[in-house]
Amino acid sequence: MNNPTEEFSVVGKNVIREEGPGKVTGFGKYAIDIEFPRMLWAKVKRSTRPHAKILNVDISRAQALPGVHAVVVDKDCPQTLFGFGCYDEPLLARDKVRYIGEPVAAVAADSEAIAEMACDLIEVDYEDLPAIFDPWEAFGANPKTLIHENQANYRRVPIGPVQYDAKHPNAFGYYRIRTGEVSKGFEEADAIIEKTYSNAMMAHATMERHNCISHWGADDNITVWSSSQAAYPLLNQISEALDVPHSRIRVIIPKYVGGGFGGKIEMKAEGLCAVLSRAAGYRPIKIIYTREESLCWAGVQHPFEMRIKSGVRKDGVITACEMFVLVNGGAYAQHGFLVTRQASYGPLGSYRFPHFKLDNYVVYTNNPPGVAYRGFGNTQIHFALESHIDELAHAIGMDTYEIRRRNVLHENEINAAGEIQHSVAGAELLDEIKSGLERHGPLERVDGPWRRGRGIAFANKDSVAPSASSAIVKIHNDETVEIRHSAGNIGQGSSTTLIQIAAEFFKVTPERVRTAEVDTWVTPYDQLTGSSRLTFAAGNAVLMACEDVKRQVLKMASELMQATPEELELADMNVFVRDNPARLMRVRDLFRTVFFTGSFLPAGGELLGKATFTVPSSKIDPETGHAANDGLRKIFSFCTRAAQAVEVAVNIETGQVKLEKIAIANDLGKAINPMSCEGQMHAAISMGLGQAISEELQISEGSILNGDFSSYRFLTAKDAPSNEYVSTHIVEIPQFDGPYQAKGFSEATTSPTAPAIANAIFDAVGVRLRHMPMTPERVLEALDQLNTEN
Amino acid sequence: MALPVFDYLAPKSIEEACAALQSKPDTSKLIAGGQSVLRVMKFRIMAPELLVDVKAIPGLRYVEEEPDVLRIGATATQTDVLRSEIVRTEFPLLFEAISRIATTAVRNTATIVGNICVGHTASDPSAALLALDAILVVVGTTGERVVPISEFFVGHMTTSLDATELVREIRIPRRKGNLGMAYLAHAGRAAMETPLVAAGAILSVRDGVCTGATIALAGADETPIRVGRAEEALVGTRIDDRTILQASSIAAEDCSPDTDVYASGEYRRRLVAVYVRDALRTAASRVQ
Repeated sequence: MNNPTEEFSVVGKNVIREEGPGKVTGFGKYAIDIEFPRMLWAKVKRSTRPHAKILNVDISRAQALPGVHAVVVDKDCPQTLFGFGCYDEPLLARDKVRYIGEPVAAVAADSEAIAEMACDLIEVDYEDLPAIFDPWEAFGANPKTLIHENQANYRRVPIGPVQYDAKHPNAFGYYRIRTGEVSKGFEEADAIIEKTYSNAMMAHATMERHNCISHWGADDNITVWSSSQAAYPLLNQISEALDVPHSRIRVIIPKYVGGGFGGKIEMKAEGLCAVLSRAAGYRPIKIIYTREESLCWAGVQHPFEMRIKSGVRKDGVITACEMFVLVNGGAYAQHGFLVTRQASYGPLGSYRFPHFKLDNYVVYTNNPPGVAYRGFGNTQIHFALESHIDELAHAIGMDTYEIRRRNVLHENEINAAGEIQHSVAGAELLDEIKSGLERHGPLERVDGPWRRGRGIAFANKDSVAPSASSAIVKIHNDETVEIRHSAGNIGQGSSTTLIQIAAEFFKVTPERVRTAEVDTWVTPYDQLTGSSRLTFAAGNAVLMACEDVKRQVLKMASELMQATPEELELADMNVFVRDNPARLMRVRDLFRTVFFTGSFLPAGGELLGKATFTVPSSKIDPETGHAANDGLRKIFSFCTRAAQAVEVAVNIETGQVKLEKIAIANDLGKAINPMSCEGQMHAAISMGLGQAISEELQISEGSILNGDFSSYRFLTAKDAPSNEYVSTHIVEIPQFDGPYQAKGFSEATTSPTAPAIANAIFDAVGVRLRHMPMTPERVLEALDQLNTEN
Repeated sequence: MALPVFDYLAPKSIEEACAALQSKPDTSKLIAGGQSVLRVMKFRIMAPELLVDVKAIPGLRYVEEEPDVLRIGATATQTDVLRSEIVRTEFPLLFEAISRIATTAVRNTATIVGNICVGHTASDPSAALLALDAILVVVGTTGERVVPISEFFVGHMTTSLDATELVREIRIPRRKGNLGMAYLAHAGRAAMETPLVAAGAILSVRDGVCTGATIALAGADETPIRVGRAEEALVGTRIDDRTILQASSIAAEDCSPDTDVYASGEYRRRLVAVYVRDALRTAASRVQ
C-alpha cells in the first residue's frame, strides 16, 4: 500500500503510549471508575448446581429487603437466546442450570452490599440432573445426559461441516481438514510417534474485572459503558439478547481498559443490567464482577485433549500427521466453535504436511463456558505440536532446530489447507532465537538439585478473515488530527500504533494526533479487538481514511491556490504545489470566519475522511477445510509466526521449574512502534510462563476450587527471568497488504513459551510433560516414574 | 468479594479494646493491620459483626531490645521488625521469615502479632517465633498472663487466645553461644504467596558437637509445629550430612500436612524433608 523504501519519520520509532500519562498518574478513567447520579448496583444470583432443573425461584424476601429496587428472573427477560454464532444462552437460566455459577436471578439495589444480601435471600429449588464434566464422556453417542436437549434446533452460523451430529449429541462444533492420504504418508515414514497432549482450564485474569453500566433510558434507547474489548459485537449481542434494534443501542468503551486477552469479547452482564435498568425505573445499573466471577464465570480458556500421530523420515521430513482434538467447551458455546476452527488450522501455518488429517470436536459439559483466550486455541495446539516435533526429532536423532528448519513453510508456499502463505518467517526466526540464546552464554550442566536444560518452540497465529474495520479521520481547525475508530486499546497499545500510522501519513508529530473514545454512536464499525488484527485491519482503515481527508483538503486548497488537486501535495499540514513547493498554504487557513463568528470551512462541514478496510476470504470446502483455488487462496487475513528458545532450571527434589533465559522472536511485517512490540514480548513471558508452569483453574464436579488470586497462581514480576537474560528479536518480513507493511503479532508471542519449556524440561531431566501446566507436583511425579522405570 | 457489613471501633486503650470484645465475645474480632482478617472476611470465612482495631492504641508500636529479650509490640508492623538492626543481626531466622511475606505494601501495614493470632499453619512469623521460643504477653479483662508460643497454636486457625484477650507483646529471648539459625520457605511463586512449607532451624554447637537443636515448621501440620524427635536426633551428635539427613527424614515422618488447592499433603511432606535439610545445612554453616 505504500513505498517500502521511503524514509519514515514516525513509523518504526519508539513513541510513548497515548494512554501512558493517564496510567502513570492515575487520571486515566476505566469503566470500573464510572458512576452516575441515581445509579444502582447489581449482583447476580448464581447456580450452585452443575446441572439441575429449576423447580422454583422465590424472590419475595429479596424484593422485600429495604434498598432493593428490582429483582429479575428469566421470565422478566426477553425470551431470546444469544450467542456468538451458536445461539444457545438465555440472559438468566431458563428452566434449568447447566453449570455452577450460571446466572439465575439478578438484583438492583442502592449498594453492592444490599444487592448481595438480597441475592442471599433468593431461594432456588433445584432438582439435580446427571452432570458431565469429562469431555470424552460428553462426546459419546449415548451420553448419560444431554446438556442442550434442543441443540438440533439452535440457530447457528454456517461454518465447516455440519455442526450438529446426532451421533455426538453433546458436541456443538466440529471441524475437519483433509489433505492427501495419511496412511500413505505413514508408509513413507521411518519413525511414527503417537502421543496425547492436554491442558488444564485457565483464566484470563485481567487486572480490571468485568464491569459495566447499563442504562435503559426513558427514550427507550439503551446506553452501555463497558470494559469490553469488542464494542460492535457487544452491541450486536445486546441487540439479539434484548430483541432491540442496533439503532437504539449505544456502547461506550472508555479509553482505558484493564486487559482483555479474549475474555472481554462476549457480552457479560451488559444485557442483564439493561433489563434491570428498565425494571428499576430506568435508572443506570452498575455491576462489577467479583474476582471470583471474573476468573471463573466470565469465560475460561478451553481445556483441549490432543492426540497426534506423525510420521517422519530419517532426513527429518514429516510425511504425515493425523490429529484428533477434543475441546471441553463448557455449558454454552460462546466462542467455542470458532476456537475449534482456528486451532484446527494452527499446525498448517507452521509446517508442511504432505498428508494431513484432523478432526476437532468441541463438546458441551457442565463446566463453566470457555471463550476466546489470547491465541484462540493456538496456545493449546502449539503446546501439543511443538512438544510432538521434539519427540519426532528425538526418534530420528535429529537436532531440534534442524527438524523445524526442514519442515517450516516458505514464502508463497501453499499450505496443507490450500492457503497461500505470505510474509513467512521460518528459518529467520529460528536463527534469531538460536543466536539470541547463545549470546546469553553456553548451557552449563551442573549436578545438584537444580538441573539445566534448553528447549525451543515455533508457533503461529492466523488472524481472522473475513474481517473489516472502519475509521474516520478528522482534521480540526488547529490542524490536530483526530482518529475515530472502535478498535479499543486494551493495553496492547493499538491507539498509539494508529496514531503513528496517521502521523506518518500526514508527516506530523504524533503529539498532533489523538484517538477518540470508542462510542458506537460516534466511532464507526470495527470487528473486534482480537485476533491480533488491529495494526493490520484498523491500521489500513485509518490510512484509507487519511487518504480520503487528504483528497478533500487538496480539492479545497486547489480552488484557493489556482492549481489542480493532482498538482498538490500535503505534508506537515502544508498544502504545496509539488513542482514548486514555495507555493503553499496551511491547512488551518482553509478555515475562515464565515458564519459571522468562529473558524469554519467556507462551505460548512468538516474535514472528515472515512473509509472501510475489508479483508475477503476464499470459499472453504467444508469437507476438507481447504481454501478454494480462486486466485485468492485465503482463509485468514494474515499469519504471524513466532519462535522462542529457553533455558530452564528444574529442581529434581521439588519439581520446580524456573525460566532462566529466553530469546523471543516474532515476525510482524514492520514494527510500527518497536518499543511497544518489545513490551508485548516481555509481558507475554509472564503469561506464557504462567500457562506453562502454574496457572490452572482447579475444578471438581464443576466447582472451581481456586477462584482467587491467592490460589490461582498467575506469576509475578519476580518469577520472570532477569532482564539481562531476556532478548527480544523483531523480524520484519514485509506484509504486502499491511499498513506500512505491518501486521499484528501479539497472540503468537505467548504460544511458544509452554512447549519450549516442556522441551527444555526434557532436555534438563529427561521427562516429557504432556499436560500443562507443568506444575512442580506433575514434574516430580514424572521424575518418580522415570526413576521407577530405571 | 466486597466486605460484608460490620461495625468498627478503634479504642484508645487496651482496657477499652478488651471491654469491646467482651460486649460481643462471639461476634467480634480484633484487627491491627487487617491484612489477614479482612481477607478472610472477603472470602466469607469469617463474618464478625464488630471489628476492634487496636492500631489507634498508643504505645504498642515498638521493637525494643533489652539485655535478655527482644520485645515486639502488638501494632509493630512487619516492616518495623525488618528495620530493627538486632533482628537482622541476631535473629536472621526471623528476618528471613518476615522478609518473604507477601509484598512490601502488605508488610507496611500487616503486624507480626496479627499474623500469629490468625493461627494459620502456613504463617512464616509463627514458625519463626516457635523456633525462637517466643513468649506472648496476653491481656484480657481479668489481667495479664504469659503464654509460651508452644502453647499458643491449638488447631486449624485456632489459638489459645480467649475471645476477649489480645496479645500485647511478643518477647523473644536473646541467645548466647555458638549458634547458627536459618529460615527457608517454599512457595508456589516468587512473591505474594504464603509458603507451602517452611522450616526454621537453630543449631547450637560446642566443640563440634550439637548441644541444642530447634526445628520449627510452617504448613506441615494443622498448626505450626516443632518436630521434637528430629531435634533430639541431632543433640549430642556431630552435625554432618548424615545426621542432617536423618533429622530431616524424621521431620518428614512426624509431620502431617494437609492437602488443599495449593498442594497435596504428600508433596508437602517431601518438601519438609528438603527444606529441613537445607535449613539445617544453612544453620550449621552459620554457626559461630
